[in-house]
Amino acid sequence: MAQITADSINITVDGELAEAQVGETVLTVCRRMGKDIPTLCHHEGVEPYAACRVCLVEVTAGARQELVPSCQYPVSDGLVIQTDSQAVRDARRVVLELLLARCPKSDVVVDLARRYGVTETPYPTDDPDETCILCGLCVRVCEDVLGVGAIGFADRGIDREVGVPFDEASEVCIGCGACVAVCPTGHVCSIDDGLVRRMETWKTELELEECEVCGRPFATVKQLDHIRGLLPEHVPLNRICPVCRRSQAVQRLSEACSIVVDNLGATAGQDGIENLKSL
Amino acid sequence: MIAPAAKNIASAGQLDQLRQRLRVDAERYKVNIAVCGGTGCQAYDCQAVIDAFDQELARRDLKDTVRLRCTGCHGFCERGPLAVISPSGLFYQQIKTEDVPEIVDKTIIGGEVIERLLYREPITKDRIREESEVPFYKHQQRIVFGANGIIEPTNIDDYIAVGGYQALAKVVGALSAQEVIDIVLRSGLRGRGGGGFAAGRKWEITRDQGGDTKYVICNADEGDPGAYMDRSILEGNPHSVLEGMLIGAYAIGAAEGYIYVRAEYPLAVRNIGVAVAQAEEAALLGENILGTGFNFKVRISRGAGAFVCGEETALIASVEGRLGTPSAKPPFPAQRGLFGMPTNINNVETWANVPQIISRGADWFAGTGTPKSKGTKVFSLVGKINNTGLVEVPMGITLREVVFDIGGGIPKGRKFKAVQTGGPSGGLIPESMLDLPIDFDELTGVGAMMGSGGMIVMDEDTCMVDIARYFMNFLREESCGKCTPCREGIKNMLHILTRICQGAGNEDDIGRLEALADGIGAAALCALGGTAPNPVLSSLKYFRDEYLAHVKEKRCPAGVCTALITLSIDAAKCKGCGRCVKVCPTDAISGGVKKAPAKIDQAKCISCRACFETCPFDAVTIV
Repeated sequence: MAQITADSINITVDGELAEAQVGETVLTVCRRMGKDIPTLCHHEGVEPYAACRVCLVEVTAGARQELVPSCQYPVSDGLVIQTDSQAVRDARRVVLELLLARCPKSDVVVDLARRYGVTETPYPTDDPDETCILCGLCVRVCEDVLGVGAIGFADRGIDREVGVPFDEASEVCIGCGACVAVCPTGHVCSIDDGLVRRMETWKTELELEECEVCGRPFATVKQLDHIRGLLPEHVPLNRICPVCRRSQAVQRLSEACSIVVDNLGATAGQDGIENLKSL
Repeated sequence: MIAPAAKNIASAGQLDQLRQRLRVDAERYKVNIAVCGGTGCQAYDCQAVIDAFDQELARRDLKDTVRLRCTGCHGFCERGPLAVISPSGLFYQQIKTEDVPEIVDKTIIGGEVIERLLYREPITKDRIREESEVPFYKHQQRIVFGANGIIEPTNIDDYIAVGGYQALAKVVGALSAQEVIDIVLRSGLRGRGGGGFAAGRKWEITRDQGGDTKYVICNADEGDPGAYMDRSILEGNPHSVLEGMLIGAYAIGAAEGYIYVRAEYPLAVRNIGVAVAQAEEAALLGENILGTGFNFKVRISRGAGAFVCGEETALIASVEGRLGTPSAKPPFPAQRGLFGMPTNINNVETWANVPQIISRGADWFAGTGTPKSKGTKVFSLVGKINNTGLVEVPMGITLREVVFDIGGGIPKGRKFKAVQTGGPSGGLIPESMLDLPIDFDELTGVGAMMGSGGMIVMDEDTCMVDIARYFMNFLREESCGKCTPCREGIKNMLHILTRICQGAGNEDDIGRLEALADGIGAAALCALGGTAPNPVLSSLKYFRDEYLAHVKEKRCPAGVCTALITLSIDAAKCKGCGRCVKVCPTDAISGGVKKAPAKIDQAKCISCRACFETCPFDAVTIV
């Protein structure tokens, strides 16, 4: 439940009164209430985009009633929201029929469509192997979150696609794999092969660096250089894989603990140490 | 071109003095020749006519007493090149370069009227001497376009001489920001770009946002097929737009403005550029305007010509140098717009109305129009219409008056079928609704929209399914591809319509089309997608029988859809002139020589209709 502050407002979701905070989106509030609103182009770590249109809900503000993208639409006092009205279901169904025609083999699309009773689409498929729904998450995470901008949209309308400039290996891509992580359909993929990371979708290959401790390749040289560039000069960057970093952290922590315990023992006596151990 | 006298105007008083001086100066010219230099007339090579006038006047040593101006669009594009000769207001049309010496000789020097250059009323056959008496102009009310045919757009002096920048002087000198907004609110001015939102209200919302930095933008990204109103205002009277923006900026509290104009409008880009430079020289743009402490500068941002960039949020993205795609509203540009700051966007025609409203008053403006749509609207009247051109009419005028009284009806005596308003986002209005008054809400009520003012007239030989298909094809090309319903949905609407036009449709397709159109309208991200189904839905609503003829009888009643028509030649009507034989691209027509009737070989015919369009005797029939 949202913390009630001066910025709290009242909204109604599917007939139920709810508290929300100014600045929150309809999706955030509805999901907190346990409402089932599907999303495809939305990711918590990326700014809302409102493009896939499966998260549409019906809002009534004053006399106006309309379908709005819940991922982006801000709550306002007195807003009345319906997450599963006939209009919402109809619109989602049309969108899902269109997406199913575009990406008939995408499990994510197929499963979501089925949830709305769409098992087949009346529209033709251009490319049966298409898996990109053009949600733009890869482009947005690369540009807006990482500030790299290795990929972008090319062309427009039905010819729109995501890709690297001129469809050639990217000189900018750092191979961090954020695009792979956020892609909702698995269209964007990469493969680590020995000391090479192949960003398959972007036709780009990058050299992997081995962990200074265990020797396993774990991140691309370019990604580590990129992080190095973001850090202040006096902060050291150890080129260590997450697994080793974790075990090193555990090691350091337990060492620190034993020092604390020893110090406590000197001041609080044996009883204190026993108490501490029992915690 | 004469260098402008307007330089460093430091106060309203100086502006007034300059205006009076310019008026006195103008009196030394006994005759004024205003040749239309709009884009339509440029296509007729009016430049050659202007050059011919210039040479002829120089040759006869008349340049000190005759003032030749290349003005903006006069509107009657059908009849270009055009010239108005004052003080008598004589209106010559379809002028050729070889007519020029005669005009100078007989009319300018001799005071004679050259009858053959006058407009001839097609029905009464009367020759009409003055522009204002031509039916095309007689039913118009030209507020925004009033000065277009009089002033030279590339000379700020001309604009000042007709009272230009007086409204600005009044505003910055005597009115508070709230007073300006109140005047605009009271005038009832609504945005001319398509949405019809109350301009004063929009200004007020932007003004009331916090922060010191605010922007005003002029949307000159006119993209509807066949529409060229805004282009012609920028070309013909760019200072009226600048003055409107200055007044708006003062009311809103903006110190900077942008004009977003498509680069495909070279003359508009040039003329607004010249206007900005001259206004800066005149100190009407810049710091401490008219000595009042008000600062405002304008930048010109050229668009690459994407239809979607006329949508406010896409326009802002494009000005910022980002990909021109829309983003969901709210936040509205008035709340968070250009560079994240409150931004007020109005289109060219809206801005151009503002100085008039300030000068002549809110009540004067509100005195024209209907209860909820005030003032005039400029339309580009195109398609199957006798008088193609730009018309400015009072709101509330009926479509019938525009099409028949101003437009002169349909060419070749064919029957009117429909008019499309609002461009590809608008709807088709059938003959039964011709008495509909032109008004934002009336048009929306019948499934069309005012849009920015495109008005495409269609005759009985236009297939409504094919027209819907044409618009979907346009929108398919212009959809940015960001949201699913617009990108995928328009493609599939086009797919279904193409199938129907090819005779491969069935009755289920009509229901599918309707469901898809409704879905796209409800679910699309921006107004482009939201209104994209309008041509489909309105044609289905008013011309359903044509769809049914296509799918059930495999027949195209208008005889347009090539897969569904058979052309043949009526031997009784054929005079054997052979024109059809020459135009046929597949050599399907034989005969047609020495007065023997022509004949079409159906095996070779591709139903391109070239013979039908060419035949002067209506001998080609379509079944």
